[in-house]
Order: sequence, then structure tokens, then C-alpha cells
Amino acid sequence: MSSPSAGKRRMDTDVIKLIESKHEVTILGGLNEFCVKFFGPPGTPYEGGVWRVRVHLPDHYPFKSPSIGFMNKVYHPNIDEVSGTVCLDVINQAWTALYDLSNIFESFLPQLLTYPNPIDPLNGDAAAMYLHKPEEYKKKVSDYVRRFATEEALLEKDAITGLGASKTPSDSESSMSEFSDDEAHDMEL
Amino acid sequence: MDSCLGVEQDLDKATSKFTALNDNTNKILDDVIKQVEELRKEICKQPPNTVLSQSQTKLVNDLASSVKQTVFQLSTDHRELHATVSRVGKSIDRHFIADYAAVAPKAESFCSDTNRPIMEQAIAQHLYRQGLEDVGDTLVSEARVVNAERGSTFAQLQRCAAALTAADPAPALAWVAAREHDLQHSPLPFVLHRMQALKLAREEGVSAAILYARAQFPAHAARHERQLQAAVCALAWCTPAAPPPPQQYAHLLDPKALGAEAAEVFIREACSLLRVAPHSPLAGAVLAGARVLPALHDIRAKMSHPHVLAAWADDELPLEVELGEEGGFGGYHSVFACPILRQQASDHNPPMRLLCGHVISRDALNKLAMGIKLKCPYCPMEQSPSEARQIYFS
Repeated sequence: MSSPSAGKRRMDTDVIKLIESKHEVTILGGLNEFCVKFFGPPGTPYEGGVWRVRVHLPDHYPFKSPSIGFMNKVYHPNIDEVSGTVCLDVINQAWTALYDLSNIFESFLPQLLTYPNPIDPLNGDAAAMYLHKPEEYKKKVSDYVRRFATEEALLEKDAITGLGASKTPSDSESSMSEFSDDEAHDMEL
Repeated sequence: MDSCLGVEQDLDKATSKFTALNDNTNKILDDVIKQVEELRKEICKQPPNTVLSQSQTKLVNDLASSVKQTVFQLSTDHRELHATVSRVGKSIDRHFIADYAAVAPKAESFCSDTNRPIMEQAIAQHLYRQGLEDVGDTLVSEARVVNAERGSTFAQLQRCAAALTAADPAPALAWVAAREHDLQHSPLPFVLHRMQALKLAREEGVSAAILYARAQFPAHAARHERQLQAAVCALAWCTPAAPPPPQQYAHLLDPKALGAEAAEVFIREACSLLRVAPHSPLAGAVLAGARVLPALHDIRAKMSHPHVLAAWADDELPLEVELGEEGGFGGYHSVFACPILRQQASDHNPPMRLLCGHVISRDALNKLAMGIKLKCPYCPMEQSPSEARQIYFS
């Protein structure tokens, strides 16, 4: 029927646009799998937290929504605590073929963290706490942020999984003015 | 701009060091020369071929060694200059990108059998447009270029514009006079007459300028009242004994600036009148490329991943770059690119207008459709795929 490669151009453009934007992107394998550094939205209990969010673009992207997962622990009604996967239904409700990757990190995820959807939870405890004990919920979220969503925690994970920082190109010496000793000799009497 | 300022700082340091060293060296050398001259005078007081006395020999030796020391000191100071100069070089390397090879198109793609004739045609056409017929002819004969249009209307315009930049409005005025009627609504005739009036003021005196102005300006008084007033006032500073003009008239009284402005207006108005592009295809491509290269380079620096490089198709850029509007670039025709699949429209994949008025490509339409139902991705209006109509952009 429809070939998956039709969306390839769109996939490439979106990923390159994301890389060009201010987000920190690490390609994991092919342009359809990568992770992005995501910061907790200010004004929420997630503020100050930093997560590595993994995105997988399916074959039929952009007609099928991407799957999103948090690689380090986060406490949220719509995010599975163990695997970090974000509830697909919630993504699908928001997703259209015009939505692009920067939208995910600039509006979708921040909105999801600010306004969880407790009606369709992946983390039942979190959903219940959010509905009935909001103060405890906020405390637990901050606790998780402090323990699992810091730069140090990410670096530790990097050391284990082997995600290294890219090498910087070596500075080459300028060749505009080279002073050779021969010239010095000529100047002496 | 910051890059230029950064390099300028280092350059200023180097220049000031040069000047200081230069002054110092000159002074020292003058002293040394004076000393040697004096000694020479002393010795010449004696008749020639007399043997020098011991004290005189000592003096000569002393002077010689002190001169040697001074020169050695000067050469050491001079050596230090090289460090400063090399710092300027490093500063340039640091602030500017010298190597665009990583993002520039490969030279081989211009030399292929299909592309090379096109490139040569483009170059020949550009040369003819610029009025460089002899260079163009040489290229055409040596490279055996076919289909190069020799007669170029633009070349004539280019000659008038070049004359204007050299502060000579005569050719342009002649060109305009022949097309008085077509240029009724254009600011061009007034700009040229103003330039001519001020030129007369400089060369033949204010009265000649006033006569000319009386003849030519009234026709344009209605449309260009303020500028006319400014031009006539500027004449007051065209007399030989005039003091320097105030800020707002400086532009009018500077023949080079006025000529450059007139040339720009001329090209713009003439091209739009004759429906000729102000830039040759070669020039347009180079200008667009200059806009794009920095953006490409920025991305390239962030992307060293092989998968990402593979997505770098040679014929389409993977990112959007602003090329500027009508005035700067003479306008480009955009091709419709589907926002969903990011493919350019073609005969096989034309743009389709949905019932709600939104436009997507046919491929995207087919993929979005689920049987007889379709939801528009922009507004979720439900409709049937068959209700979409192909849209033609002229």
C-alpha cells in the first residue's frame, strides 16, 4: 500500500530542524531514534529537573505519532514509572500530521507535565495522589526530581550506557605570520 | 559584525605597536647616524692617509660596538612585532570561518556533462549583462558555449548605472528622456534631474543649477515636494565660499553617495519597467548561497553523525533559510512544498485544496485518508478525500 519511505523526507527535515534549534540532540541509531535533553517546566513541581527524553519515529511518521519515553525516572500520572514511556493515547489525542518535533518539546511535554491527565493513567498511584492528595503529589514529584533528574544523574547514566560527548575539532595554528629565524639572522651585522 | 570588531581590536593593537616602534627606531637611527657623522668629521679634519692615534682608534671601536648593540636591540624589538602580527592572523581565523568546503557543493557537480554547459552559459550571460562583451566573447569562443544571448538589454542599463556611480547622469538622463511617458509615476526622473542640478552647481555655479532646476523640477514638484525643497536649499552650500553643510544636506552634496543612490534607483526602476531581472541567474544564485552558507555551516558543526549526513540530499536543502524580500533579491518564485511530507509539488504530486480551504500535497492527502473519511490536519474538519480539488499556481 503506502511505502514508509514517503515520510522519510519529512523525518529528515524535522530532525535536522530540531538539531538546529537550541535543543541538545543525541542520535541513537538512524534518524528515527534519538534523545533530547528536556528541562522541567518552570512553575511546576518538575521545575529544575532535567531528563533525557527518547523519541522513536515510526515508519508512517508523520501520519503516526512518535513514541516518547523518559530515560530517567519521573513521577507523573501519564508516564510509566518503570519504563518511562509516555501514554500513547495522550500523545495521539494531541498529535496531527502537522505537529513537529520542536512542538513536542516546547509545548506538548511542558503542557503534559503542568496539566496531567488523571483519567487515563499509566501510573495509577500518581494519578490517585494528584487527584486526592495534591500536596503529597507535589512533594513526591520534587523528591524524584532531586534524586533522579539532575545533571549528575544523567552523567552517571551516560557513563554506563556509553553516550560520549562529541569531540571538538582541534584548533589549528594560524599560518598568517610565521616568524622564521632566518630573518633574524639577516638583521644582525 | 562582532567578528569584524574583534579582529579590528587586535589589528589596532598591532598598528599602534608598529607606529610606536617605527617612531622609536627612526629616532635611534637618527642618533646613531649623527654620532657616526661627528666622528667622521673629526677624523676628516686630519690630512688623509695619516694613521689614527690610539685614542681615535678606541673611539672608532667604541662607536662601532655601540652601533652594533643598538642595531641588535632594534632587531629584537622588531622580532616582537611578529608575535603581534601573528596574533592578528589567529584572531581572523578565530572570528571567521575560512573553510566552507564541508558545506559547499562539490565542485565535481558543476563539471558533470549536464551541468557544465549550463554553468558556462550562466557565466557568459552574466558577462554580457554586465556589459563585458569582449570577455564574454572570449569565453564563448574558447569554451564553445552554445545558446548565449549576446544582445543584452541589461548591459545598456548597466552602463548607465556605472556612469551614475561615477557621478555622470548624462547617459541615464538620455535613457529616461526616451521613455518620459512610461516613467510618469516613477521617482527616477526626479532623482536624475536632482543629481544633474547639483552637478551643474558644482561645475558651473549656482546660477546654472537654478536655470536647470527651473526648467526641470516643476514637473515633479507635486510628487517630490520635500525632496525638491531640500535639493534647492542644498544649492546654498554649493558656492565656493560656503561653510561646511549641516548634517541633513551632506548626502546631497556628496557626489559619490548621490551617484550610488541614483544608480540603485535607476536599476530598480528600469528593470521593473523593462521586466528584466536586476540580478543575473548567476548573481542571484551566488547571493542566495551567501545567505545560506552560514546557516549550513552552523548546522554542520552540530552534526557529525553519519546518519544525519546521509540525509543531506544534494538537490534540496534540509532546512529553511530566509532569502529576503522583493527589494533585496528581486523576488523568487516559491514552489509549493507540502508541510506534511516536505516534498516540492510536481506534476505527479500536485497541491490539493481541501474543502476547508487548506492545501496539502496529493501524496499526503492519500495517506491521511481513511477510506471515504478524511480529517484536515490544520482544522479537524471532516470531509471526503474525493472532495479535494487540484490547485494550480501560475
